[in-house]
Amino acid sequence: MKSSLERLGRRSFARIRRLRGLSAGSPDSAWLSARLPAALLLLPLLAAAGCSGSAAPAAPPPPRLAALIAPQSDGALAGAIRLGAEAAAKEFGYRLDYVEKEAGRPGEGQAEAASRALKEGAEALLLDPDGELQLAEVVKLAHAAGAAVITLSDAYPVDGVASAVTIDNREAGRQAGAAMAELLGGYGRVAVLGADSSAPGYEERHAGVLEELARHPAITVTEGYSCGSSSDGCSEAARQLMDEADGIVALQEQGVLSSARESLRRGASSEVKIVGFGSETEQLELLQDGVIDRLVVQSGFNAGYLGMRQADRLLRGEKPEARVALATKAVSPDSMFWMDNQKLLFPFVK
Amino acid sequence: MKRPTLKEAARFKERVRHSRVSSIQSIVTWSFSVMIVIAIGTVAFLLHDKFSASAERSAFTSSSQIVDQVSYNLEDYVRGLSSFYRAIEQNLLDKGRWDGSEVDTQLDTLMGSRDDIVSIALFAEDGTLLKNRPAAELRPSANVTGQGWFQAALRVPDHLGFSLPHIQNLYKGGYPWVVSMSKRVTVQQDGQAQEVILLVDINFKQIDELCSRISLGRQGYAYIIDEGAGNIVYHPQQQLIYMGLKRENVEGALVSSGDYVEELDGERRLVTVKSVANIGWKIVGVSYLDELLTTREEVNRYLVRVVAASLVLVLLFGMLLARSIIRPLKRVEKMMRSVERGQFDVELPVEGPLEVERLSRRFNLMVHKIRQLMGQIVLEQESKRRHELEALQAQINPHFLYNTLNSVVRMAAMSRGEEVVTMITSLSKLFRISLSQGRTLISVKDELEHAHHYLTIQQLRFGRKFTFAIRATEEAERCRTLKLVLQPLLENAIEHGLEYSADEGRIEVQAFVEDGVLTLLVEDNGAGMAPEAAALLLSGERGSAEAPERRPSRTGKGSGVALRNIHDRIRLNYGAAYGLEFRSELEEGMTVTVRIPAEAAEEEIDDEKQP
Repeated sequence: MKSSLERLGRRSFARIRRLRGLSAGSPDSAWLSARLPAALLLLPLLAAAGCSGSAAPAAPPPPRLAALIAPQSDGALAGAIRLGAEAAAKEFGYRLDYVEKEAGRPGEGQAEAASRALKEGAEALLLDPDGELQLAEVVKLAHAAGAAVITLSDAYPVDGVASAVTIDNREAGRQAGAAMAELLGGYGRVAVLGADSSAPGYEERHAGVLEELARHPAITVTEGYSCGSSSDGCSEAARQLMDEADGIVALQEQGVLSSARESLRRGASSEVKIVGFGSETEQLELLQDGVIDRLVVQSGFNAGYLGMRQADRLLRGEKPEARVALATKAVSPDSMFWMDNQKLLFPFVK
Repeated sequence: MKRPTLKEAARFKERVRHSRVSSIQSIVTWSFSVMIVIAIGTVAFLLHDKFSASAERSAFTSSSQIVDQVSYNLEDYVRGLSSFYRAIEQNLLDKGRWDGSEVDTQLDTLMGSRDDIVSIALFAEDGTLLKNRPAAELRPSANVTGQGWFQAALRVPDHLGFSLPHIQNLYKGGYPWVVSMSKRVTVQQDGQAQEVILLVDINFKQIDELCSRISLGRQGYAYIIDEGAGNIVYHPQQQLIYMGLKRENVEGALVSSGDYVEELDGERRLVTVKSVANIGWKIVGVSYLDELLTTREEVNRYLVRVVAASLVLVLLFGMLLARSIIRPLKRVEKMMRSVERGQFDVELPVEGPLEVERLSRRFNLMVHKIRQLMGQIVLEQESKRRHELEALQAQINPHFLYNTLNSVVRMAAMSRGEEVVTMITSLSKLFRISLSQGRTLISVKDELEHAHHYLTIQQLRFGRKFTFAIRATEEAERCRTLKLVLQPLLENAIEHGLEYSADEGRIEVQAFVEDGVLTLLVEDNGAGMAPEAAALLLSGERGSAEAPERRPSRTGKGSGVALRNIHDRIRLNYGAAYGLEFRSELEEGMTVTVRIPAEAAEEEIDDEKQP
């Protein structure tokens, strides 16, 4: 069932379009304003000479094509990136294809999607790479087709990437460390739940957390635990850490969730402070309920937008910045519903 | 090597200057083209100005129309929401009871009528949840009393307030973007007055979609601000603005209404502001002026192309036009050249443009006049010549008179009286016919009589050394002839043919008409001449005509000349078809034929009667 507003809106738009057509002139109807002087000026002469070819104003060139390759995990961040890239594509006048990998081929998802996009004629590929190997393959394909690759959110040391839009992971780690130090009042034991991924971003994060916590001499840091994206492994690690520490800093989303669930399971949850990264809906709910105490978040929308802006520069022949830093922010249960954070954390209007 | 080339180049340049640049053709072509192009250029310029202005104006108009429409739609939507809210208020609060499945059903029906209602909730003054639909557990961390819509409802009782779009965080299971309608109502429940707050959360998607669909040119967009504080209700790039990647001049839109042009980050933008009643929002449409300039540039490029194309066309047209003007002039020039070469029988066709037609007619008249004048000159020359010839002819050879008179004296001394009489009579008649009242034409009869007298005299003088006979048909006698045509012929026959001849000479004169041609024949049997020489008598120069003369003339004037004179006289009078003919064989004699058109002489007899 359609709402009355939508119906009304459509009707009035149609009316406006008609009106604009009649008044023969609007920013986007150049041909109309161009046609009339032609008719007035030279209709007889041109008609006589059959010179109608020059009478048609040049049609605007079709927009150039860029493609956004979907990441493996189709979470809130990926959606926000897509929103941002689409906003920028509209602003800069590009056509943006969102290329999803085909189901059932987990291994070669991004490379395969990239080759499809290149076949369509994409001149720039934007992607949040699933891994270093995937990215290397995409870069190879893109170079063969003469297209540029721009990475969003995560950066890997792969040659041939035109521009990398990424958060400053070290700074994000520092923010997490500072938040934890603040939560503990500068005193206590902090466990860092590391990542099993070899991605350089996590190492940077880790280093940032340690660097910040090291400034507080009364805080001791436990290291050595890490968990990947499987909830079983992470739960195990979280369970152990809960007993040992006053606060947990989890570098990966799964680690944050597992820690929070463990905290919930134990009840009286606020005993162990949890600081993590990410802005998935479940994390946010746990944040609102105070189970998670701080989340360091990035704006996927900005990543998509800035990535597309780099692509625009690149395709216009300008030199893009090799690295664009995205700001991150630590959000608390109190501040998560502040006006400016709402848009950051909840980019979608559903 | 260099000088001649330079000179040649200079000459070439000169020629070009004369033949091309200053020719009417190029003058017409160029002036025509320049004129048209200036005209087209001026019109194009004026139209371009006008069109740019009107394009700009219509952009303003369409922009404000769009924003107006959006604002009307939004108002309409808000009105609909308000009445929906009232309906819920009535169903839920009028009876003061909100428990029971009946109320639930009613609320569900109401909610089912719209797909943009997220939830309905009733709270007590202290934030306790009294009822909600769809039924869901309130989050303990919801902090109802701290929410904006709750506080706004508490502040102003009995006023339906619309919140800014925000995240609904009351229930588990998602964070929808909503606009909250809230109002504090006093309800009579069981005889007790109770303050409650009714909250209806509307999905923000409808408003968001409405705004994001607005297209103001390629780059333009619309956003909504809250009239009170200038908070951004909706902005397509709200995140970028929060993150400081974009700026929006909200202050400018907040204080103004209607259209204005502002400059933000180096770009000129047309901003249209419109308030939305009841909800306290302002819709701000932004369109980029450089898109208008693109339109203008496109018009420019188009006009340049049009002017270029028309220049080519005009040049072609001008060349054709000039050529059509020039062609008849060239024809005239050609004709003049042929007249210059002496060809006067030309005539220009009278056609083409009026001026050329006139020129052709004048030219034809002029050539005609020249022809006339030349004809006149020819005529005058001919008559002059004729008169000369006649004058010559009319002179009686003084020798002849002197010899004749001497013969008369000699005869008188020898008392040959009869012969003297004959001689004097013949002489007298001879002179009478010679004078003929100064007329040039006389009858053949007179001419033959003249010949007869002449021959008689000569016969007497030469002591009857020859005989003669004159025969003429009557028809021939009645014809007219130039006078004294025969006498030189006879003189020629006697002096050159018979004088030195040993045999007795004979001269025969005949006159007859044959096929309308009067023929006079003088035949002698004298020395004659070679046929080739005879053929040459009349042709060529006077000198060459003298060369074949048979004997030196005693008259001091070549008889060839006399013959030629006669020939000329006849041709001058009657045309080239007539004249003398000679037929001769050496030692066989000679026949001279005179051919004249046969014309009857009527007054011949009258002439003779008059002395």
